[in-house]
Amino acid sequence: MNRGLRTIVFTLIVGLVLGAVLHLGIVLALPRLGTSSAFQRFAATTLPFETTPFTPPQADPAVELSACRFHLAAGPARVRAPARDLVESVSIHAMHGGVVYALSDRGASGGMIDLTLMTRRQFDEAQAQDDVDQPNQDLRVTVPEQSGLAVLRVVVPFESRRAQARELADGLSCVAASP
Amino acid sequence: MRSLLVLLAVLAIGAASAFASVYLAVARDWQPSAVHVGPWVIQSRTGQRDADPYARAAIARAGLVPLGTGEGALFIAREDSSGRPLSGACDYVMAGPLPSARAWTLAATDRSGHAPDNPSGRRALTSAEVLRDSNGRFAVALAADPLAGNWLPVPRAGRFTLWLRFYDAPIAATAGSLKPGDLPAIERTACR
Repeated sequence: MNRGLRTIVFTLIVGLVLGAVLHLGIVLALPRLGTSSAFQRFAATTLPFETTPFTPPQADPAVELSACRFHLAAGPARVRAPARDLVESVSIHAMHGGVVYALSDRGASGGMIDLTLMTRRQFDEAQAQDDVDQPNQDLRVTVPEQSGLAVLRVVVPFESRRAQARELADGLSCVAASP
Repeated sequence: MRSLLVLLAVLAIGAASAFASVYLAVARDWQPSAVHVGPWVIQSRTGQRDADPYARAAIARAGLVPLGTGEGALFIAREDSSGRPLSGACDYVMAGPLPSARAWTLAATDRSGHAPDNPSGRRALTSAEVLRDSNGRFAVALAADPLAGNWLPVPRAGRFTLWLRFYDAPIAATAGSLKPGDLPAIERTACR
């Protein structure tokens, strides 16, 4: 092989290897660089901890959906949703997309789905303060980011029950919990 | 001089191939962890903390709120069971077993995600509405014009997408082990 050809092959191979590395880096960084995640769209029109009906892209027409955003910088947050006779579920989404946790109404106790959201550090602190004799009953979920979205989906089994499903969905609440 | 040229060429090839491949993967919604079962595509891992990075990028870009693995699963069909694209110019029957779930819903949209216009106002069919025979089996007619029984309106023209969603279903966690016989088939019956 002459020297010119060797240089071209070498350039191509090194270029493509660099391309592969860049490709992976860009894909991994995309969720953090973007400005169109569900949280960012929702946050543009709502106040923190405010519950609002929400229709994200590709939403199920047979589901009533509400969302509220939570922020953990000042302390843990509590997400509650009343459960009745309709199929429903709560999911927690990190600010840059990605499901952190999801639970159906079968995980409700006393007619209420009840989650306490914490950062890893808040979780460790809470655990250190727990009374050994009185185990904590809260369902604690650690969230990898400081902010995110809590979403309540209520399935509308028949069109005639849509109003009830909406009412149930409106019952979602996000509040800053006292640590 | 020569080594500078080589360096520039390496950088140019690297940047061009990286941006082109990222664009193709994300814009085309390429998801390495998607499971294909018969006509259905199941994005089995989008509802978990360890979703693959391509799924994460696509979710963030489109502003989606995916179903968590603990709450349900989404199955998407863009083709019938013979591999032909679903077309609004044709009628279809969807029949066969469904994984167990407390509720499921079936909806059709055009390729841009819009529900079909129809006088009935129906936009989805749910597990509570569907009529079953004495063995608990059922078939759903997918057609632009209203039909008696289990009918789901589909767009009148162009290709369409079927969205089958399961709620409170363990299926999300085990989608990888599904076989085509475990899910409903979509058969074309007639075309206009």
